[in-house]
Amino acid sequence: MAKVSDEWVAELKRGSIQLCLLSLLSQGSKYGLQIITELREMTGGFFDLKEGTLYPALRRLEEKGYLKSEWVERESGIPRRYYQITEKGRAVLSGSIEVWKDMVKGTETVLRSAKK
Amino acid sequence: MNEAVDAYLAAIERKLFWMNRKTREDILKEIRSHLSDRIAAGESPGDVILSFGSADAIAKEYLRIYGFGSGFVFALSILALILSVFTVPGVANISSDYFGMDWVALVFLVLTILLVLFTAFKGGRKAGMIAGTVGCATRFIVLGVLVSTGAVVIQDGAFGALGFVVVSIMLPVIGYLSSVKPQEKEAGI
Repeated sequence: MAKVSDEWVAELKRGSIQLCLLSLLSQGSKYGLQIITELREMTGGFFDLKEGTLYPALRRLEEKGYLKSEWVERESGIPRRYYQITEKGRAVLSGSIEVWKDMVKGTETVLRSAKK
Repeated sequence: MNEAVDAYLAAIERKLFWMNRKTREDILKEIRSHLSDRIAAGESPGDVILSFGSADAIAKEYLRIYGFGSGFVFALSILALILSVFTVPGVANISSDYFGMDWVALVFLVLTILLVLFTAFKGGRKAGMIAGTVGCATRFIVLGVLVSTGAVVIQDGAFGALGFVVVSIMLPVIGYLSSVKPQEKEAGI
């Protein structure tokens, strides 16, 4: 990934983050720090979300009705806010996966034609 | 928990002053929970706060999502209502003798526009449109009352009548256009 600026990479990643969040939260309810850690581990460090990005993104998805959240008390420490996917979110996710596949297929076809 | 964390959360809280109280407290609790988890795992409070981002940037993100709380939008709309009553030419016509125009109405019009701009910029699209629409409706209602009581007469083919309609409709349009669309800035990484 040499010679590619951080801003440019962020731009490329932008479209996929919401999809990744919906996917991850379709497995079950998770809290913010857990989401960051799991995404980082699953992608070998490629998706290393900043908190200032993740939390507002979760709220946006919640406002759209794709996620719901609840506070879960702990024996010690501050309660955690767990997010999970809604039925609406699930429907959007399965539709988006189809779009994503077409996009990747189409993009790869075009990229193969690139002269390096 | 920790002085630095408390100060950081207090800074975010101040910047979310206009937001609905329950939402604000919920956001702060979530951030506090995250910070305390990382600190409990052995990280330094300074690093954890730095990683979360500046209080200013965080607050802006949240304000963009939620906008002003309904209490503030209501208060600003009431203010828009009061101000816009005086934007109707003839309400304060005592002054028109001095300058040949109703400068009181003009001054109040400028104030109303500034209020709608402020509401839209800070409170989001919905808040801006509500304040603008309240101002617009108030102007038509007040003019209606003035005309029906004979206090004001609309002249035939008057430039004033068209101007009145245009200015009135402009208020919600300003509220709509000058705000940042709530969902406009999607997640970056």
